[in-house]
Amino acid sequence: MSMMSMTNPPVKVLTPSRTSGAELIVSLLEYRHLLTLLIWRDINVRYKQAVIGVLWVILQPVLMAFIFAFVFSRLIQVSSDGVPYLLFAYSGATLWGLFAQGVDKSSLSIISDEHLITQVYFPRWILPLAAIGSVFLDFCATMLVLMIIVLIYGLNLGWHLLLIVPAVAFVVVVTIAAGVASAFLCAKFRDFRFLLSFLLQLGQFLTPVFYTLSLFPKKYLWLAYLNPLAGPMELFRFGLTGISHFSLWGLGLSLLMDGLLALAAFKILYELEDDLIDNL
Amino acid sequence: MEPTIKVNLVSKCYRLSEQRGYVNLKEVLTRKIHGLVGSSPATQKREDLWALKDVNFEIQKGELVGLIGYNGSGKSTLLRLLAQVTKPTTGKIAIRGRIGSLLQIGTGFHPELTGEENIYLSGSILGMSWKEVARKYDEIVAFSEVEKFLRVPVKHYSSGMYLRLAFSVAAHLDTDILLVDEALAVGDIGFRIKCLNKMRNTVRNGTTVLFVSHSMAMINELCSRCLLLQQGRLLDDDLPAKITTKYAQGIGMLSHLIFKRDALSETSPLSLTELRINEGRAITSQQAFRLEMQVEALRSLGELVLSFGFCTMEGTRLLTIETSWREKVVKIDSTGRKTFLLILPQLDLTPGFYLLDVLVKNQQGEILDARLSCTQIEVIFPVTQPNRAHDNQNSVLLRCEWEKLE
Repeated sequence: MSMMSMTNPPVKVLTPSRTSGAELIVSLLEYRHLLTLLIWRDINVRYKQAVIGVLWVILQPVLMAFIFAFVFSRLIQVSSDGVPYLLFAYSGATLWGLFAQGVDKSSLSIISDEHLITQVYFPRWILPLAAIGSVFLDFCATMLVLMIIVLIYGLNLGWHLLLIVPAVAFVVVVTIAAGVASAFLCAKFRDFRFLLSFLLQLGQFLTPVFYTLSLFPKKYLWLAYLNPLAGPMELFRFGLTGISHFSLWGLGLSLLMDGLLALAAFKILYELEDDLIDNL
Repeated sequence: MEPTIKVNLVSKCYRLSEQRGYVNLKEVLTRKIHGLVGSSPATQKREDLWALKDVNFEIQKGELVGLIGYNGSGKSTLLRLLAQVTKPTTGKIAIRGRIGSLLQIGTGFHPELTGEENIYLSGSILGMSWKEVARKYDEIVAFSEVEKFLRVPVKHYSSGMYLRLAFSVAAHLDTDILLVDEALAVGDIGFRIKCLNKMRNTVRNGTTVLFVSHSMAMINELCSRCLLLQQGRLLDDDLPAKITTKYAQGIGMLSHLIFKRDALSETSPLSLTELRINEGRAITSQQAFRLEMQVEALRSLGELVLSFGFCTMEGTRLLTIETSWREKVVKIDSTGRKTFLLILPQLDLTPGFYLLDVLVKNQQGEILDARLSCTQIEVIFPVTQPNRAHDNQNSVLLRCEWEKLE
């Protein structure tokens, strides 16, 4: 969005040829201001609709923490690698929430802004990215609550806390890949949403959210790490506590799958971007 | 000098089977599986619809070009292609400079956000940078005349306030090229004139405008040149007066019209759905005349103003008949379709051809839906009167008496 130049404005040529992968990336950079703005819009609208507004951002994870504390510390006894189970489950739910809500919100993003993209041009995958961006800000609020829980349990705070950053970054990449792909698939195939909500439920059980992979038989452990969220999830917990189960090769395997997922998502974006509008 | 817009042999094809309704993953998969197994799948027949075919034209910097065509002629498709919303099937479009597309009122507006927030949101989505919006903010607010309500979510705005604010943002878009759909020039008459003047100024500052309209009066008044589209082809490209005459003559003489939702009625709580003219009978000068209008309301709206306009073939309004001018009041207090009948005991127009405008407004005079020049009507001589020669002027007949003094 450059300022209007008086003398020699740039020429844009529109042809039938398919938008290339490089163009998809460049146009996203060009429209990054719009991305910020749409994130701002999503958050603004969400918390305006909630009666107590911004307080809700903090209250929601705190309430969830209380529920977890009640259910898991009193009712269920599961091995959690020596980590207090409340912290174990709450950290899992936090990171899983980033993924699941990110994918869920972005899957509807194109459909709900259909009236926009049929009138004005901007790279359409800004919409799922903005949806994920707004979910990420919620996640940051939850992280604050999570850190308070860590302090309450008196866990030692060391260098391992830094590992949270790459762990979250990996999950963000998985979320973007899955979110962008499902946004486009939902816009093209209206019944994809039903499949997606089933997949998300399934994913919650396949990912070590409420259990630890140290329970797994060694022989089949690699299967668990084929899940691109498994490795980052362990890295995240290890980063928080410094004591939970963590396997480096498992992380590697998950990251490899992470990369493949991102490539597949980009391929879906590339295939569907151009015809998206004509199919709406 | 290179043209600002150059459209070179552009065509756009839609596949009807894909465009109608949405594709189901289930169907696609079953078809694929059928294909693998070898059983004959129920193949959906694909029909190609060429919304635009081999369109060629150039627009120079600073031109204000009108674009007219009957419904389904490809106007919206052309705008969408220029706005880069969709790609041409064949051909090439070269655009020199930033393009702003104002295809619908309130692009990017969100009902939960306040007027102020929406100015920034809509402005940025339409293509302004945050700084540009900030710089023009005061101007936009002043133009919109809704200063007092900027901190209120726009869902609480009246439709007129909403339209004014939405248009004000759009009107201050400072791009090299503007694509404008007529639905933008809305609101009460005073604001309409303000909008048109703003558009004239924009062109004076060197902006190139492509303006889609059904109103021939507006095209004649504003544009320096006009394009006529018919069934996806560019039929003519000439002076507005020539094109609009040609267009008006081509407007069919229908006695029963069914309206589809368009850019204006899509955002409106009420839309025109049907119009019946004189029960299909011939329209005779100075005889009774009936107009039946059907509207569909999405919510209860209170009192409405129904308005019919009779225009010359050049688009000049000769006669306006509105409900508010009579004692009978039209009310909409429930949703759904309602039909209203207008009976004129005597149609006081000279014989000849007229274009008919149909509008529905609310009590504040804000337009809820409008179909301008939606059909042509022919008013014929009453059989009882000799077919006198007249000067071929469309005119309103006033009852009068002549007397010879002395």
